[in-house]
Amino acid sequence: MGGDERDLVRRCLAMDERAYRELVRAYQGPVVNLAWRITGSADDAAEVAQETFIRVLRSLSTYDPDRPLRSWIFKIASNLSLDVIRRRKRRPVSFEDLSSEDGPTFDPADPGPGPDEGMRLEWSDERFEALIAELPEYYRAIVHLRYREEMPYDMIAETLDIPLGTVKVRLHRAHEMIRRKLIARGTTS
Amino acid sequence: MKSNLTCDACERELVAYADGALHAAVARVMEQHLDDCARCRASLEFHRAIAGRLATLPGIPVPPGLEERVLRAVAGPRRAALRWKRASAAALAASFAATIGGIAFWPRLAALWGLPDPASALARGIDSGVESMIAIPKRLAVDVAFYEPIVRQVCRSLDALGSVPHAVLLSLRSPEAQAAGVMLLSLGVALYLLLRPSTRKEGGIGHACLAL
Ligand SMILES: [Zn+2]
Repeated sequence: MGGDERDLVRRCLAMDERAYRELVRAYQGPVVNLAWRITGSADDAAEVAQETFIRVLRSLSTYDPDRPLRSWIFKIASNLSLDVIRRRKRRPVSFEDLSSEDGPTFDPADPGPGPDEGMRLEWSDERFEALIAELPEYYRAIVHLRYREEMPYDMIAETLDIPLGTVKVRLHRAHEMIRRKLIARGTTS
Repeated sequence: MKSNLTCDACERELVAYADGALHAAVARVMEQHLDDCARCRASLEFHRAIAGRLATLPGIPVPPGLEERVLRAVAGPRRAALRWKRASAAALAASFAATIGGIAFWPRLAALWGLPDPASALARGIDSGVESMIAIPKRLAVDVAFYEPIVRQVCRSLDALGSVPHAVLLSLRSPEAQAAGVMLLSLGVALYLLLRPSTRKEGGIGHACLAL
């Protein structure tokens, strides 16, 4: 953690209201968008973000300053987002859930990406967005942390509390799922 | 240079390779395969394009009022707690000052208002009040000795009801807890006796306070 962040945390611990505001302002965009990416709902994302910051500021004394603050905040936000999905589905959900990772991965007979798939990547944001929304929640979380937040693999592992190897496997599978969905949509879709 | 990496193995590592997350030695082997294999090169480009698309997808704006709602929830109770702490500290200091002032100036005030001599009637009144206050813990001590076997009996019957009330009662019934209670009580009484305004003995701390 950088010196500025350490100082921000120290001021928050001293109940400095300006520091509270600084922390919320620095992370509100990323937290809202992570929650939105996982829950798929702007209302749920707003609720998750509010609860995330309340928890962060109330439990800052338990935070280990040697770890990245961003990762700690995202961990709280992603767990709260999973709680929302859990309530919705009325079934346990976790980032360690591997039940849907048993599907086929790389098919050696697969001819690989053709020119059509490249074209389909030019789809509008809405169409691409709809395709991402079909991925299971832990794949959505991982692609968001990797490509939107540009987190390195080890930080993703720490944030989602999963082994580093699982991060690699899941990112690979997320790419494969997207690729298969693009192929399945056909050229006219 | 030819590598013996298969396309299958290369494909499994392609995303991590595109993300720059592979060990340098593994990345070198991948590069050798990619130099020779057009299919894996096309696949790599495709993964890169997906990553680029994911990175630039638009997000949603921050909901209005989020910062204020968080601050109300977090800073509100803390501010109130801080105010309460300060107010009670001030009240304590004020009452302490008033007590000391009262003790110091009471004889003069009593003479001024024509009240009975503090060294006689008032002091005796305070004394008897204190005597009766001391009598309460004394009675309590006797009562504790009396009720202790009964509490023990209640504990035994509560044992059947579960471990939580049992644990609480167990801590109450331990000789250490009882000893601590008795010690605290006697410390309070001793402190009072030491500091109370003495009417019978010259040179006590109370007397010194009266002489201020
Ligand atoms: Zn190949």
